[in-house]
Parts: sequence; C-alpha cells; structure tokens
Amino acid sequence: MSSVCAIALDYYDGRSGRAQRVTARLTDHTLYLHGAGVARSVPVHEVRWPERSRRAKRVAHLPDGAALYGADPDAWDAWAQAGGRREPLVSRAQRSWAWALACLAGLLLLGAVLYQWGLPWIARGAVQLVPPHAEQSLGLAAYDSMRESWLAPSELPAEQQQRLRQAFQQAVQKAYPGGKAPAWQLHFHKSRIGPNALALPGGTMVVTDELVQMVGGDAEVIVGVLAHELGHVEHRHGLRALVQTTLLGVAASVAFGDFSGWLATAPVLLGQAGYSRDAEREADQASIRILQAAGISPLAMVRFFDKLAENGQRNESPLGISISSHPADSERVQAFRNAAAARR
Amino acid sequence: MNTTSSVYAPGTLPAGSSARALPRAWSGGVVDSGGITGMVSSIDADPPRNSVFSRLLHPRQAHHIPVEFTGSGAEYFRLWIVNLLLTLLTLGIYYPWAKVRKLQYFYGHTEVAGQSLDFHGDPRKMLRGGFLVAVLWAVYSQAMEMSGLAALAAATIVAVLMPALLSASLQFRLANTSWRGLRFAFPGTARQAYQALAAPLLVGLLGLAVIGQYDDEAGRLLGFDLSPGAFGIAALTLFGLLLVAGPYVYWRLKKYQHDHYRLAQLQTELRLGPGAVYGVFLRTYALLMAPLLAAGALTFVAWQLLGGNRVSAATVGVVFVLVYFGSGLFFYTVVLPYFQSRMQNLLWTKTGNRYLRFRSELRLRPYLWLQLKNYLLVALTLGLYWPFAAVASQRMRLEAVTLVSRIELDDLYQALRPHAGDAAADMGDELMGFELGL
Repeated sequence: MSSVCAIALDYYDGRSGRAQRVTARLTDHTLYLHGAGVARSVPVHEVRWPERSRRAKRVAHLPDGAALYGADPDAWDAWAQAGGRREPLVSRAQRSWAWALACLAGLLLLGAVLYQWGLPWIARGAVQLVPPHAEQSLGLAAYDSMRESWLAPSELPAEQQQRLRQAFQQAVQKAYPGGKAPAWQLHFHKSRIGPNALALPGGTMVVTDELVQMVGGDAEVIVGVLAHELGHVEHRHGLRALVQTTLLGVAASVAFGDFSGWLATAPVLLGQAGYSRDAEREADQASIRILQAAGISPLAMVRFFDKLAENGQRNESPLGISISSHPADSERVQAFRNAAAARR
Repeated sequence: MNTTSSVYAPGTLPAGSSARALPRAWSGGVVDSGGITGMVSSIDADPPRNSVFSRLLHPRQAHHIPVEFTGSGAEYFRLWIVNLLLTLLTLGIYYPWAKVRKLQYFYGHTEVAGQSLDFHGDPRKMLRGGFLVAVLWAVYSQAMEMSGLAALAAATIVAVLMPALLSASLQFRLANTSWRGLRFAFPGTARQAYQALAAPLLVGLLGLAVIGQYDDEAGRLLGFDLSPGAFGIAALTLFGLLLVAGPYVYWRLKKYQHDHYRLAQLQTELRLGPGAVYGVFLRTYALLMAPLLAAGALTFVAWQLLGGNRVSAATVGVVFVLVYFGSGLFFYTVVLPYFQSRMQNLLWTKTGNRYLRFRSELRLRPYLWLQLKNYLLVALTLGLYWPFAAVASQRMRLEAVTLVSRIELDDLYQALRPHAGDAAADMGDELMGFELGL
C-alpha cells in the first residue's frame, strides 16, 4: 500500500468563488472530502476526473457542480494513483512519444490504404446508388451552363459532323456488340478553349471545332478521342470525381480543418489530381479497346498527341506530374504504341 | 493568490489536530486542513457576502491579472495524433471525445489568477448533436448539387435557423465552461439573436435569390426575369452592400456576444459603437485590395510582353496554382492576422463592466511573424506542425489579455446554476464551432 492517501486541495462549492481548503482522501470507490464546513463523500465513478498533462492544474468535477483544484499536478497524480485511479489508455497514449509515433505510422498507413483503395471503393459504391437519370440531368445542367458561357454553335459543315458521328457510331457498335454501349450524345461546338473534347456525367460529349480542324478532320483520330471520352462515360468518372472530391474534402478538413480551410485544399487538389490521372489511364484503355474492335490502329491516338505537340499543347508541366490532372503525354503515347505493337 | 497543495500521509499529522468531527470512514485520523504546516490557503475567515461586492477598489488600485497559457506544442501534438487516428478508425464516432479532449487541453492550460478554466461538455450528448449536423450537412450539400431552387431552399432554412443555433451554441459552450467551480453562462436569448441578425440575413437571402435566378429553373419558379444587364447591376449592388453593411452586421453580432458573457454576479457589456469596427474593416479592405491590384497589373504587363501569345493549358494551370496559393498565403498570414489582432484588441478592451474588465494588447508585428512561420512550417511538414502552430497562436492571443478587477475574485458568488442547454445546443456548438474570439 502506497503511503500517499490524502492530499490538501482547494474545494469550490460551485456557488462561491472562494476556495475552501479540504483534505481529500481516495479509496477505490469513494472520494472523501473534509475541511472547515465541508464534509462529504462522493462515489468515485460520479466524479469527472482530469486528464493528465504536464503543466495543467488538475480539476475534478463533482456531480453537483462543485470542483476540486490541485495546484501541484505531480502530487495530484501520485495521490490519484495511490487511491486506485488508473489512467485511461487514451490518456496514457497521449503522454507517450512511442504511442504518438505509432499512431502517426498507423495514420499514414490508414491514409494510404484509404486513398488507394478505400475512397475509390466507396466512390464506386456511391456512384452505383445514383440513378442514371439523375446523372443525366447533372450532365445536362453542366452542358447548359457551358453553352451559356464558353461554347458557341459549331461552324463545321453538317456533312462533316454527320460523317464523324457515323464513324464513331460504327466503332461503338463493333466494340459493344448487342447494344451494350453506354448512352452517349455527341455535340460539336466552336469554343474559346481551343482544341479539346470532354465528357459530362450521363454521356453528354462535346468536341470542339478547333480539335477537328487541328487533326484535319482525320476520322480515325476523332474516333479515338471520342472513344477515350466514352471510357470516361462508361466508368462514370465525372460522378466519381464529384464523390471523391467531397470525401477527400471531408477527410482533409477533419485532419487540418481547424487550422485553415484554405491549406486543407492542397491535399484535396493533389489527391484529386491523382485520381484524375488514374481515370485518364482507364479512359485510354477504353479508347484502345474500342479502336481495336473497330479495326483502327491505336497509332491514331499517337497521331493525335503529335498534332497536340505541334500546336504547343504538350502536357509536360515544369512541376512534374505530381500536381497535374493528366499523366505525362509521353507515358500515354507509349501506352498507345505498346497496344499497337502488341496487336501486330 | 498563493496556494500550494501539500501531500501528506496520515502518520505525519501535526499534533493537536482533531478527528472528532469527521465521518466514520475517515479512519486514518485526518484533520482539518487548516492545521497542516507549510500550507497557505487562499481563503480568509469571512463567509462570502451574497450582495454587492464588499469593497470596490479605486481604479488605480485595481488588480491586473494576466491570462497565462501553459500548453505545449509537443504535448498537444501527441493528443492530436492519437485522437485523429481514433476518429478515423471509428469512422468519426470518436470525434466528440476528441473535441472534448482538445477543448479540455486548451481550457485546462488557460490560467487566470492561479486557477485554470475547464470544459465539461458531455461527449455522448455531443455525438448526438454531431450526428444531426452530419445529416443536415449531407442534405444541404445534396440540395446544392440537385438544383438551384433546392439550394436556395436549403440556404433559406439554414439562414432561418442560424440565429437560434448561434445562441444555443453560445449557451452550450459557456454553460460547460467553468473557473473556480463557477459555471459561465450566456443569458442571450434566441429572440435577441434574431433581432441582431434578421435584417442582414434577409438581405443576404435576397442576394441568393438574385443569384439563384441566374439558374433558369429557380428563376422561373420565383417569377424573376432579369436581363443580363440588370442581373449584373443587382449583383454589383449586393456586393457593394455587403462591403458597406458587413462591418455593421459584424458589430451587431459581436455586441450580441459580448453583452452576454456572465460569470457569477457579473455580466459583460461591449462599450463600443460601430464606428471603430468600420475603421478596422476599412483598413483590412485596403490591405486586401493592394496586392490584388498589383497582381492584376503584373499579369497584364506579362500578358502584353508575351504579345498575347497562346499559352499552354499546363502553364495556365501552374500559374493558377501559384496565384491561388500565393494569394491564400497573403490572406492568411497578413490580412487575417491583421484583422484578428486589431479586432481582438478593440473588442476585448471594450468588454467588461464596472467591476471587472479586460484589456487586450496583442501586438501586430510578432503576431504576423508567428502566423507566417506557422503557415510555412505547416506546409513544409505536410500538416504535422499544425498542433504546434495552434498552441503558439493560442498562447500569443491569450497572453495579450489582462483582467482588470476592482473586486476581490473571492467575492464572486453564484446563486443559481446556469441552464446547461439541450440537444439543439450541442448541435449549435457543432455547427458554429464557436470560439470566444481569442
């Protein structure tokens, strides 16, 4: 039995700001207080005990609002321990660097696992729950606002549009026999953003006049680009990005949010860029598959990247791919070349 | 206020002490603490007088009591990392416990006149509040993505609830904060919160409605039909109104808060008109605008030098990221600390009453440096420095505050225990994340 059984503490009755000096004694079940005008006993489990900390004064709260203050933390801790108070595991972990470092390692591991598998898995599940018509209306709303702000009616001849549309339709039919292809609608537009193509949730695809002109109306290239976009549609990347960004945002704000919401956007941006690169790779695979099913060599897409490069649109940003939303072009070109070589 | 505890064993009691008055369980023969050697008690013999304070010191003889913060970054780092892991592992269920631990850490290391503050919210009740907030948040963000009209409806509901949640939040937080066994209280009512915030919220909602009409569906249903020109004028007018009326709204809000902090017999009051608040806001606007204009001019010059050549998407992306984080850094390390320090000094120095008041002297330059250092180190350590940063900021903000008391703090007396709030109060606290503004 330890010798520390009683301690002198300041007792506040919850009504007066005046301390009363009491002697506190602690057994396994009961806390006894005695001083001038104070004589009471309280069951130990009804007391709200303080957490250990190096420099904080100890305060215990009694159920009726009274409080016990101990100015000397070490003396308090010795007394509480001798009285049979065991420190909770969390509290002990908080005080030890070994535990903290183990938690940090666990956190990093958990973060990596969540990022690599957890979040994409949850996002895929969440996307499954979204009915197709909701996805479609989301895409249409986005399309409407784009048309208002930076898309103009196409200036391509109608028969050229028709020809490209047909070429793509045939390729899709061959790649998805039995009409299993995801629903798609194709729109040509003149735009302010230069040569580009994009897919919106629900299968709305937009190709700019500038892109068609850049490749000189090469139907094989356009089919390849559209097949890439159809890959985004098939995997519902737009919706997944939405879910993943939201989840990343929640995770980041839990971790760093109380310091600054702005700084917490950095991990979200980086994380989303990582997911976006994976999505691009997935869409490139879809493009290769559709092209090959249609009997077109994946080298068509290599021609596309060459044209982009000629146009000064190479994606080799000076900051490297760590912050870019697309994989480096060289990597993508290589994937198409490999696919073409493997076929031969 | 010199109080020291002494630890002693039953066998070493001084002679002459008596155990007669003790209950049976005190078998060890423990005595009245007054007889223990080496112990100084802060009590004197008089019982507290439950009336107006017995002595009111002359202002020149008032006690100046510094606020001290004894937390350490390393200690808080460990608390934070353990709680973060537990929160993630339990999918957020542990969050209220983590929050209570965090608040207890910060309050428990805030010392006034030798005694620390304490927070004793019940995590189980807060879990319920947190759950309600999560549901509300999910519905709200869902509505935002569904349609303009749904978003407008959701924003309206949140705006209508906001004042009630604000007062619930303040009641909850203060009723669960104590010092010397005395509970703080916030007697401000929801009704007063509505009075303070109704007009500005209405204006804000009107703004949302105008923006909402930009969305076809909402516009149709609300019967608006603004031409693009009229829309632009309306949007600009609202923005102007926000700049001009913002400081007034802020003042009303702070007045509501600072008029209703209560401890025992004492309730604070904010003796400050809106004029000084406008002063701080105007200087903050200027600070905010200067570099924005400079950046704009610089971009324009660079554009001209490049001859308006087409730049690649990647370059635009890189520039965007640099500008985003550059302006963010400027905002968070210069503009915001400027505003925080000036506002803290202004508001807290004007808060108090006849018996007790505060004085805040947070110096601008050290605070700016501290924030710059904090943000850089947080970024460099990928967030690991943040507990150190939080502790350092809190220390500087709290230690700038002095309590000026014309009474003896021992004379504080609380007749009624304040109402501790209910589930709505927990929810309000979760939503508002209320801090005392320090």
